[in-house]
Amino acid sequence: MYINSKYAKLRDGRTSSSKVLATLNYGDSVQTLQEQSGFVQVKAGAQTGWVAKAWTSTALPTRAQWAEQMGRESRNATLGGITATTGARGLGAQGEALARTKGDRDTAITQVKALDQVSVAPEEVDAFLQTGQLGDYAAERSTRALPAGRTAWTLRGLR
Amino acid sequence: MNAMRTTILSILLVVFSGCTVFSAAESLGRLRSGDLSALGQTDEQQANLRRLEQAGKAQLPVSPEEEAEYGGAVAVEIVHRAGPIADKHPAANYVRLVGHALAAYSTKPDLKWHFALLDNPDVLAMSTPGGYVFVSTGALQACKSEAELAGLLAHEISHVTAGHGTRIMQNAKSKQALLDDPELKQSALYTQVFDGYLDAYLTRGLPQDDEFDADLAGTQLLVRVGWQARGLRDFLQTMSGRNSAQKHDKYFDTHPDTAKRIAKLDTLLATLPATGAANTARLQQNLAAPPAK
Repeated sequence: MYINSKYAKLRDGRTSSSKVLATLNYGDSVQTLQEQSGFVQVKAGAQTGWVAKAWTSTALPTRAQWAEQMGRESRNATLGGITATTGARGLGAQGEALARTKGDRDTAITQVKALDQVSVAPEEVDAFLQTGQLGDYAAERSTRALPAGRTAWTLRGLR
Repeated sequence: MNAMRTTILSILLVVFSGCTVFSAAESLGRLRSGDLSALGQTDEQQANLRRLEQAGKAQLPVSPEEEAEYGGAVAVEIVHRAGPIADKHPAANYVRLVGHALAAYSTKPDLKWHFALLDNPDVLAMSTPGGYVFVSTGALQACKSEAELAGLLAHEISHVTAGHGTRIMQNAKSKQALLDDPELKQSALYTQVFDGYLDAYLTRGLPQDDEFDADLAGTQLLVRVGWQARGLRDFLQTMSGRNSAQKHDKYFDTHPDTAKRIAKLDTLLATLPATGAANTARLQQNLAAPPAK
């Protein structure tokens, strides 16, 4: 069973007002113990509690669904005061100047700049996942039958 | 550049409380002892600092530009001290692919990630704010399966996505905003601060809780991609066996007690699927391949 909402809370009872034991992470795997009254009792790491069934799924997101959800969260960003980090970056002028305060770093700077230029094509990553039976190609991945036009990860409460 | 230097100094103020790295100017000595009042702050500055500390958290954001610039500088230092980058190693691109496969399912798939092998026989794995992730050839050779390699990289990726290193910058930036000691801004202590920060980061490591959190988040990341969930746990078990056999690996220097890490992971693993790919053959094939031209 997987958590399919960033709002999922692990609670000590089967109501939305029950005490929160922990916040569960979107995409994390939990162990199902039993289901009652629209809630699922789960083991999440060292803790046991209840989570609303609507916030769980038997299907992991596809790579595209995951990227879409993460992109949505990034656009809405702040994560504990730390701004979201996106976009193409690398060692810039300020970072290089700071590195040079340590002494002769020409060789290392050259290597890091070369590393900044290395890119991996999405198709190559996809082929790697496929040959390794990972990601969308993992043997044990399952999908639910959903109403037309819906995906497992189009969720209530997600902006 | 002044803003960058100010931030670096600020990092040290937080990271190095009580640290004995410096034999520096008197003002820095006062900072180490936590006696900020000795810096000659105004009453208003002291009141602001107390309010911030009472709030319990720093609020000034770290921009993506700052994160990338500082992360790049730290990456240079890592390569200088523990490198060079082994770009001709037969498994160099393979390591990149494992890293990018994990990154695609991380909470920051759009980050410009950089994965590199360091030509170093010690078992090393490090990451920086901004997405540089390094693993040594020694660590690679110690992996018994692709899932173990993925576990090692997943742990480092989790440090970046959780912002563990960036949080240090943020806290320091916030406190620095309340300090206005001209001596701190103008002295050559800035380079000593950067040096000391790197020594602490590469020698002492992150807080223990951050390491435990990265273990658990990294293991969840393995499950999400489809590798065996026990990948990181098995790697730690291997390292534990090596260390107890009198072969000291530097990997242990900056991480919590391995037995505690394994125990926490075992608790989590009991709740996770037992399925998943090990891909041991693929690891071995890439280790045996001829060097890149």
